[in-house]
Amino acid sequence: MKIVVCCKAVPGAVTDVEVAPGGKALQFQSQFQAMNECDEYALEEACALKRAYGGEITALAMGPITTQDILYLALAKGADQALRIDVRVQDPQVASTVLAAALGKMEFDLVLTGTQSRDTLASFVGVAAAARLGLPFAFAVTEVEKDGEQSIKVRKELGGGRFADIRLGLPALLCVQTGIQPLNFVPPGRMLRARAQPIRSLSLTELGLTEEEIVPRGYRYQSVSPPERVGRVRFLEGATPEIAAALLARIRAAL
Amino acid sequence: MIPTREVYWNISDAWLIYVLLVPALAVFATGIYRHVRLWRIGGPERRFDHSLRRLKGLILYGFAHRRIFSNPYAGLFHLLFFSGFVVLFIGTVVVWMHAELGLRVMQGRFYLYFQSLALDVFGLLALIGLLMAFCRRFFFRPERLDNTWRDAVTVPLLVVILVTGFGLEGLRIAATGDPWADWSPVGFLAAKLFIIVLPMEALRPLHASLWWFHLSLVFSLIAWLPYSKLLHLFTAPANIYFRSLDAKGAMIEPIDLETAESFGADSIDRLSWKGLLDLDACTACGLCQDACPAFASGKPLSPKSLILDLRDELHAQALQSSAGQVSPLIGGRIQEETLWSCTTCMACMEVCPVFIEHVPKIVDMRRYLVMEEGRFPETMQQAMRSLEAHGHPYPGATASRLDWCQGLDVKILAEVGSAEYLYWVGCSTALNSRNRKTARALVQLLQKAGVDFAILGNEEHCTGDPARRMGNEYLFQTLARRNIELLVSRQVKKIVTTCPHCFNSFKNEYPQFGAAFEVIHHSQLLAQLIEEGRLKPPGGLAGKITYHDPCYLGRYNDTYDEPRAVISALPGADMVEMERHRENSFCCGAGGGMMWAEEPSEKRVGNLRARHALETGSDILGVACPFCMTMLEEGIASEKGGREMKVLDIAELLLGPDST
Repeated sequence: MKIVVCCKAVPGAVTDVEVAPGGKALQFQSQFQAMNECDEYALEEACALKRAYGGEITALAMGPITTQDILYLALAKGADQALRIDVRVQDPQVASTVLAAALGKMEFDLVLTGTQSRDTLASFVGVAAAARLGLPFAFAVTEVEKDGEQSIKVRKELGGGRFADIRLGLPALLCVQTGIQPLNFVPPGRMLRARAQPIRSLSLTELGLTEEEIVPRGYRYQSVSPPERVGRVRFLEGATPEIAAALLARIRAAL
Repeated sequence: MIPTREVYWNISDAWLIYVLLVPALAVFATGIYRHVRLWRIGGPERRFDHSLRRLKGLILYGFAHRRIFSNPYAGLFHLLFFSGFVVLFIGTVVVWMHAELGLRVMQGRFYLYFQSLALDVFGLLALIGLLMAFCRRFFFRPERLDNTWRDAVTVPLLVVILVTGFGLEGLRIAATGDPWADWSPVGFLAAKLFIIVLPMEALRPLHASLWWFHLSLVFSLIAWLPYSKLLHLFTAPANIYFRSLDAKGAMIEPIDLETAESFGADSIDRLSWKGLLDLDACTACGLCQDACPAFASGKPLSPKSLILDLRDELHAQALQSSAGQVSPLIGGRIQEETLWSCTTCMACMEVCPVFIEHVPKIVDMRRYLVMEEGRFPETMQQAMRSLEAHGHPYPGATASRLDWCQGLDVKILAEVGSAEYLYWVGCSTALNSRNRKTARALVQLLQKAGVDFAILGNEEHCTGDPARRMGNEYLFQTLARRNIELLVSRQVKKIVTTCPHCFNSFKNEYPQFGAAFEVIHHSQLLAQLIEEGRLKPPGGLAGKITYHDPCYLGRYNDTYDEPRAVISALPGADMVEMERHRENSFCCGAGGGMMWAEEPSEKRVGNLRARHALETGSDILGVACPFCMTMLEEGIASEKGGREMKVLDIAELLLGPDST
């Protein structure tokens, strides 16, 4: 099975978010670029499928040269090759356009992505890319198995804790749910050896896209606010009997 | 008449000595050669530099027994038989020179004072020392000693050699009526005894047979030396000579990530030659085991057994036919749980009389597990993943690195441009609600004293210490290089830290990557500010205070006095020491990544340490490390019973009751 895993480089910590000048993007302050955790599950699932059915895995990411770090991680985890699209994109519509253009030039049976990204929580790019390519897709997938030569059987989450089993024809795109496989720690030795592997990059023009087509349209960020603190934890202070008395008083008041 | 005695008196066919000596020496040399060949399967390590410093250490720790005397009884008996046998050896060489080289040295005053009196006295002292050792090993054996047949043979063999030696002297004096017999008091007494119990004509034949018996024993001992625990006669001094001269906090060697093809030690030949010499230098004295907090808390780690297991592995190599085959170490003689029990507290290395380096070996084996296999405890993996993704080892921490200083008017370096000190807050201080109080106290003290400082705020990340100790050298170096680059770009010169682990990284480990920052621990800065009169210790605190030395501040960096100076400066403070303090301090249990290990409470090192603190009957336990704070607060809470004991950082103590 030929599998492409779309993985996104996200800031290490989502703190101190600001609206970028122009209002079309957000700026995250973080020195770290990490692989989006939801996509890491997609990669783990791809490795599990490769172990079960053979085949090869290509890791695909968008971003500047620093994005290579997460592709090295993908190689260390078990991807056979990695491909970087040399473009900075944050808007999910645009991201799905670029991804669809790249996937359109690749050979695959299955595309795996996560369900959402830690930074922007759009939960949308995978599905939109499938739509642009006219691929069958499923969202929040928790199990994948091969079902004949040209189809797979997947289980996906429904509301109310229920599941649905679906058959999809190949090629298809799946947004996998977190926890589909346990995340394995990547031994740095493998990571270092992965760094010696070349990573191919594609420019926008090579994908047949123009700058015009990657401008986000139709909205403008107004502001970003930090979370409001609710549900405070209070530590009772004093000697043990005082704490016990205060605790009892609170329980009584609540009853 | 010139005082002397006849060498080989009553001995015919003295040439037979050489017939016996040659095979003995051959067996001896073969044994030594086998060991040397085994050490050479180890990797390279530079230990041939600074010969003068090395020699000084050899004299201090070898000949002068500096570390062995940490246990006065053992120190005394070891010194007794060590010096005894040295003197007897010189005496034997003198006899040989006199008899075989024709140098007339064994006469006159030298004969009386040295060859007779000194040899007798030192021989007696050696005998006393051996009996002391024998009593300890067989009548009141401490738990750290295990007895093998080798131990059962070694001391009695030496005793027999000494006793037969005195017997020979006594027989000769009795038979010849030696006019200088008074100069050999022990031999003289033996002679008197022989005259009483033996007929005159029995003395000479008995002397001759005893002489050959004594000689055979000595030659057997020489032949057996390299195969016995007495090998340490050679390996211990060698190991002391080749000891690490690095700062104690810099003993973990960096890996060259560019050139290394594989990482860590998974077989015995992946240790360095010095690492292998360590194994043969071990005398199984067990001092490391007594000092080890992991062993004391019932975990599957004894530094002594670790070294002996590695030694068994090394010696098993000798039995394998081809040199290319080495068996896996971890999962064989060394268990993973053993490696994940170490807090890297260095107590074992601090007490080892022969300077064995346990901790770097453990880190080397961890490196293999983490960097090659990715196999280590789940909770530690979570911490490591958090380090990779967020630059701090606390998965789930949501606080920002600025939350702790709200309302305190703390300057951010990126905003103010420069400051005399960078206050490096550290993850365990900034992200932990209890330790934030320490940071708040320190900041208020610095503001009171008018110290110009700033923090990095959200630009700060872990120094990498836990990553390195858990064996992830790659992550450590990534973090270290990133931090160095940031600090250099912010033109930082002086750093003050609250965390001894961060302190050690800056002081001892970052220089391995070309960094040169002046770093000071907050206990040192506070002591200095008190001395300069810039901080006035508050009153209002009365009671007994005990202080817990953090390993990375104390043993790693020899900083014992400054935190005590801060506590002593508090009016009304009555300082009491725990039994284990300063160099002997007992870890809180958090070092070496163990902060992120899951442990049942009865196996927590911190709980044991909390008991030590409670035993002092103090009202306050002073700490100087955020990890110690966490572990000991938990420990006190679970061990205190009906007693009350506050755990406070020395900064909080110094700020006094207005601490917020």
